[in-house]
Formats: sequence, structure tokens, C-alpha cells
Amino acid sequence: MDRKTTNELMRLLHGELPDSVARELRDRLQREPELRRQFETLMQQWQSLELPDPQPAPPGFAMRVLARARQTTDQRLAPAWWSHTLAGRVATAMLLAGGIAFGAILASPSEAEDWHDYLAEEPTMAESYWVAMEQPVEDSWQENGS
Amino acid sequence: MSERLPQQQTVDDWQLLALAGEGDEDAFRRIVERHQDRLVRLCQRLLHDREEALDAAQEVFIKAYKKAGKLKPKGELYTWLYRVATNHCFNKLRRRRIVRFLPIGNSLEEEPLGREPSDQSPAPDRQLAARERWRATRDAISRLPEGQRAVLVLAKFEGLSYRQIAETLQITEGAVESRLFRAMRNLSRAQESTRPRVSQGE
Repeated sequence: MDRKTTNELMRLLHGELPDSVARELRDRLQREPELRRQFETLMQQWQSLELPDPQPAPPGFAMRVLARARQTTDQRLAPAWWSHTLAGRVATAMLLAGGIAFGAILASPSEAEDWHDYLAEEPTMAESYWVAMEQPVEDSWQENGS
Repeated sequence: MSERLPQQQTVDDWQLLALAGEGDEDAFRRIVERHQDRLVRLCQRLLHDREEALDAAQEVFIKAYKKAGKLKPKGELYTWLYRVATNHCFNKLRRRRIVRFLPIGNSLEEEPLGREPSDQSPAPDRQLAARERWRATRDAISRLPEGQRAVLVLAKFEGLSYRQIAETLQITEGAVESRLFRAMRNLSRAQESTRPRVSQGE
């Protein structure tokens, strides 16, 4: 069966054809046994699609939905601590800005390298102490004495 | 096919939703009561799991509640609800598939099948046959691509017209027709492959 015929027969089966077209097709079904056989096959196939009737919604379903909807709306409307007051909002904004600034400083590679270089060039107090301690005492005495 | 959805509720639905947006809980409760069965049914047919379907339907209504004041009336409210429900269910199915590392169809094996067959026949062999047919249908539908599955469920089990399906899924009527054609072709192939097993059960 070609697609066009099947679609027409399906539309006839579902009552989707305009009256005049449906009448013409029914006349054809009377005259053409092959077409009639195709229609019967299609109708049989359609009717063989059987499923049990699902049960309706249980009693109290609407009230349960309403309670759930109310709960959801309450949750949605409940203000978060940070948006409850103006002070809270300002504090949150400042915290966020501070966090972003701190993150930017840490993430900046050039500044980090400069800081490392500075540390590398300038010995710490501890390093200076140990360098001084490694020098021979005599040398320093002689130098002082001379 | 089940009867088409009534359209006279449209204005009232949007009015109720606007009132819900202004905090009128009774208006929201009325929307839920009006659409709950339809939405639970759709979710159950897409998810094949009662508890998950109830959760999904609840989530859809909560989304509607949250958006109540923002949604602009366009078309019919149930199409918006259906659209959100369909997307929500497919998201759930995708998560389920990721979590279980199994194809969707395999997760249905142990699930209870639901109500008894409509003919209420006490004969166990007929009940067994009906259950086999349901299982075959469910497995076949579960293996369809999402787009085809959505169109098929909305057309076959929810009784929506092509126009209503197009509006719900935000596609053209031509796309509805095309997806339905491909879904039927795929189902036909699947039914061919499962026929021996089904006939054994009958």
C-alpha cells in the first residue's frame, strides 16, 4: 500500500476527512476490493492496539498537588539570608568584590614573578646572619686591628 | 477511539489560571480537578508506571501553578498541559534509560498491567489472551521513536484530532500524518515479529 493511500485511509479511519472526500473514498471502497482489503487490514491493526484503561487520579490528588505547589511557592518566596536586608546585600557585594580582587592578585603571573625576584635578590636577615657567621673570626680581628 | 476533548472549557481554563496566578488556590484546585484524570492517564500511557505517572502529573500541574501569572492564553490550556506532560515523561524515560542501562521496553516486564480486560470475562484464558495483547502493544509502542510514540498515544488512546495533536506537539498536521504513518508501519513490523508468541497465548 502506498503512503498516500494509507494516509487517506488513516484519515478516513480517524474521521479526519471532509464529508465529501470521505463519501468518495467510501464509494471507492465499495468498488475496489483490493482497497477495501487494505482498509480492513489497517482498521484491524488500529483496533488491535489495546491497552488497559489507566486508573483515574486517586481521591485527594488535587489537594496533594495544591499542598505541593504551595510548598514550592513558599520555598521560592523565602528570602535567602544574603538578600534579606540592605546590609546583607552590601556585605555580600563587598565580600564578593574582595574575593575577586584577591583572586586577581594571586592569579597575576607578572606580579608573582617580580615578588619572587625581589626575594631572590635581597637576602633575608637570617641569610645575612649565617653569611656573617661563616667568615673567620681572625680575619675580621686582623682587619680591625690593622 | 475515545471521544474528542471538549472545547467549551477553554475560556474558563484560562480565566481560572489567571485567578490562580493572583493567588486564588481554589481556582488552581479546579484546574487540577478538571484535568487530573486526563493527565494521569497520558503520563501512565507514556511511562507505564502508575507511581511515576502520578508524580509526573503533579510536576506538570506545579509548573502550571508557577507560570500561572505569566502564561498568555493561546489555544486551549489542555494542549499546553499535554505538551508539558509529554516532554516531562520523555525526559523521565531518558533518565530511566540512562540509570538502568536498559532499553525502555525491558523496564516494563514486571509492571502490573492495570485494570482487567474491558469485557470483564472471568475466563482465565481470555484474560491471559488480553494481557498478552496489552503486553505486545505496550512493548511495540515503547520501542517507537519518541515523536511517533507521542502522536500514536495522543491519537489512539487520548482521542485527539490531527489538529489537536499538532497544536499539542507544536508540529504541522502533515507531520502528524507522517509520524502516524511511520508509527503504524513500525508497529506492523513489530506485530509480525511477535505474532507467534501472541498466538500461543490465545
